[in-house]
Amino acid sequence: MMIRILMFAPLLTMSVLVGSCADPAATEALRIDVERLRARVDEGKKERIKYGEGSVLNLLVSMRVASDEHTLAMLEQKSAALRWYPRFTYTVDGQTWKPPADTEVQLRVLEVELVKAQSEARAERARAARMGGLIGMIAQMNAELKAMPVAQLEYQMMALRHGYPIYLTPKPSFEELKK
Amino acid sequence: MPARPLQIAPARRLALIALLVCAACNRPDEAVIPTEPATFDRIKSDIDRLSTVDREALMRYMVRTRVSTIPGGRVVLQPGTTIRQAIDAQRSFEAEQQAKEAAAVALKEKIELERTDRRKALDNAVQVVLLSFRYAPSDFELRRYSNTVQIELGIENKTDRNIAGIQGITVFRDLFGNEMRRVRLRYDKGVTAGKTVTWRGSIDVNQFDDKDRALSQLEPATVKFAFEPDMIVFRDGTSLKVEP
Repeated sequence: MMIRILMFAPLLTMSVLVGSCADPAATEALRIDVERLRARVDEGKKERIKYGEGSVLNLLVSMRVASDEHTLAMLEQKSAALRWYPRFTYTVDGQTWKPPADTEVQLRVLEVELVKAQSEARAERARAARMGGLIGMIAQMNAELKAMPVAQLEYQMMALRHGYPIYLTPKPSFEELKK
Repeated sequence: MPARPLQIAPARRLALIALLVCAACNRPDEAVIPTEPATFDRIKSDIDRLSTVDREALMRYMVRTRVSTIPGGRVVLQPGTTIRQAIDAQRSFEAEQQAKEAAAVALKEKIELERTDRRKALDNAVQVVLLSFRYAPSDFELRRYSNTVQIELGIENKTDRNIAGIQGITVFRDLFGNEMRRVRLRYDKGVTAGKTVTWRGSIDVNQFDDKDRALSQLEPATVKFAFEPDMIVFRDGTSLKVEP
């Protein structure tokens, strides 16, 4: 029994040390964003129930929720990585990924664009809420279309803020290009 | 063999000292901003050495090189622009914007003041009171084909000029001050200076509208009435007007 404890003691110490190496501010910022995104995903799912399956509105809300879920998954992955392996890196096209040199500028630009997109989406929703019937449906579709860029911008912002690559699809290989 | 102390030639020593002095004197705001975003980290250490205020101004300038919510606020980053030039440009842009905003606020206040004065003049020119309020259901024998609320208004010309017509909004509220209905009033029969006239009219009641039904059920004695004039035309051709 004693031997077993002695065997595991260094492992335990290492994991505690590694855990304590994580940047507390970054971990906290991640935690806040994860919670916010989780709430948004739940909210989107609740909203989706209102529209019949297969309807355009259901599809549009689903797309927005999928985008938010993608962001959430990346944040959760980053959060787990920070907790257990602070020197975690991403590899893109076989190379270690580094955040862009002008991350701060890009983040601020995205903030401006996000505020604009959010206000447009809010205005469109308010407009849709005042309408009914077929015109109301079209207005709601417009509102959902306006909400889509918000989710996409949020994804880009989270990627820059928490340091993970934005790339969505891998580049085609040489063989694929030849075809 | 005895160890030889490290010797530096006097000229080299001077050059080294000059280099160190230059490095120490090097001001961060003299660095040139790269136009290529990928090489932005070349000035990262310079940006870190800036004061918080300068750093924020530079960042706002950099954002403006890519996006701007203000029309005409977008700026092109010219090759060779230094951090100091960018900060100064941002400061002057912000000062200009502040001046514009201040001018806009002043203009708004002036217009508001003028509007208040005109409203006051309008309110002082006439007084409209509700003399009677009575619900009249449809009655085919009396050739009244819809439910109506019959009202009688008293209009007093408080000016020393003859009024040709009055236009404004009549507001009906219940005992608790809840607004029940707003109806536009256009009176063009004229009111002699200092005199009073009465006007009879009716408001159609839509039986499918909750507020209309509530209006028709109001106890006449509890109806609170207000008149918001927006235009008075005098016989002499002049007028008092305020946008509704």
